[in-house]
Parts: sequence; structure tokens; C-alpha cells
Amino acid sequence: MMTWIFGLLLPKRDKEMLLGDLLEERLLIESSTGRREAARWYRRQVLRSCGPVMWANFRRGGWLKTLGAAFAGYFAVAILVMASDVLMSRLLAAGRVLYPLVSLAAGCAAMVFGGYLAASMRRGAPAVLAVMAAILGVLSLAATGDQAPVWYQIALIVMGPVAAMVGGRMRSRGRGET
Amino acid sequence: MPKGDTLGEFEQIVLIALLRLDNEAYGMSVRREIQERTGRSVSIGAVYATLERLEAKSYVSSFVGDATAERGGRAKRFFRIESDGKRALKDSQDTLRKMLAGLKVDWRTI
Repeated sequence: MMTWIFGLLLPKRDKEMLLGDLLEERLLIESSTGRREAARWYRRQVLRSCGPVMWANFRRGGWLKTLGAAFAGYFAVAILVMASDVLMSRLLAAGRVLYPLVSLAAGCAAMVFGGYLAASMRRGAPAVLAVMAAILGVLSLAATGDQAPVWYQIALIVMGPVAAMVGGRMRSRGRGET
Repeated sequence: MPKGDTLGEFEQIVLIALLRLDNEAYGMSVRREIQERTGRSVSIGAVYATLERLEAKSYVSSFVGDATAERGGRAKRFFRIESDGKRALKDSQDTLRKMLAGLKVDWRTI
């Protein structure tokens, strides 16, 4: 799962090589210090690599245009989420378990679309959109408190950025990139 | 070297690692070389991001090697320092040397 998410951040050109480097060194560490230490090293490497890789994606795309594309993607997500909220408030009773579940699914679908849209404008934009979604999700959790179930808000913080990256990846695949 | 193209500390370290590793410079070997020599824990992502930046400046070139089984069938990308990269590294080192020339500091007390 961790490798899959990390792979979404990597550029097509270096993805296989970088993951191969990580695997090769992990096996080296495993043979000298054991599986547990190697797994810990691997997790640390992946987590610490996310920042530089995202920054490189950002620079590669031209930062101002990338930021603009990410905001455009977020704007599209906000409109879709508002529209789905209006629709759901008419069709479903608020507070029921089904309501947040459907809302979560709609939010993720909107975020996939936002990531797709952002990627169609700038290659590195879905990564920026994912970071924006994570930050805004945390701020929303702090601001709204108990207005929505905690599981729902945490799920949004985790799944929102992933959905944005999936949308971006779908667009890349459509263009013949990996 | 054009103005504004000065090398950062980590860029210099990566270029020196490429010089040391010669034909065996790829992501993992560069990362290990830096860690073993400097004692710094470096992420593979930082190494790749720096190499990409250096390649964009034509200081470094790269080519893809063969895939191997211990890498899960994945190929290596080998990197090589180019003459522009060597020149930039020399200029950065010269600048440091000029700044330090004649400076009387007892480094052992720091």
C-alpha cells in the first residue's frame, strides 16, 4: 500500500529505477540486520522521500501554473461536493450512517475528477491538490469538531489525497504515461 | 558558469559521489556513498531529485542499465558527471577556497 502510494508520486522516467534501488538496498539490509530492521528502514526511506519527490514534481511543472491547476482542480471538487450535498440532503436523511458513507464516496469521486482535471493542466498538480486536500481536511476536522462523525473526517483526510493522486494517474495513463 | 547557477552543498556532495563511484553510480550506490562518507542519513528521493536537477542543468547525464533479479526485474539508471558539472564543482570549490584563504580559525575548538 505504502509503495503503491509512493509510486503514484514518482515520475514515469524514474519510477522503476527508484523502486528497484529501494528494493535492492532493503534486501541488503535484510541480509545483514534482519527483516524487521529492513522493513523499518524501508518505511523511513519512503516517508522521507515523499517531500523531495513532491517538490521535484512541483518544480518540474512550473510552480505557479502547477498551483493554479491544483486550485482549479480544488474549485471543481468544491462545486461537485456542494452539488452532491444538495442532492443528498433531498434524497437521504442526514445523520443516518448511509448519509456520511454516500457523502464520502461522492467526495472521493469528486476528488478523483479534481485530480484528473488538475493533471490535464499540469503534470505535478495532482500532488499539490493532494496536499491541499490533506491540510484542508485536518483544518476542517479541527474547526467542525463533532458536526460530522470522526471516522468520516479521518477517512476524508486519508482517502481524499489518494483519490486526487488516482485521478492524476488516470489522466497520465490516458496520455500514455506511467 | 552562468550567474545564479551556483551549486548547493548537497549538489556538490552528489557530484563528488558520482566522481568517486565512476561507472557504478546509480541511485542506491550514490545514497550509500554519501551516507558512509558523511554519516548523514539521506533519502533516495532527495538523491533522485538532486540528480534530476543536475541533469536539467546538463551537469550530469544518465542511461538505463539492465534489469536484475535482485531488484525485482527493475533496471538501474546510471549517472555520469559531465564536463559542465566538473567545471561547476571546481568553481564552487574554488570559491570556498578563496573565502577560506588566510583565515585563521582553530577548527579543533569548534
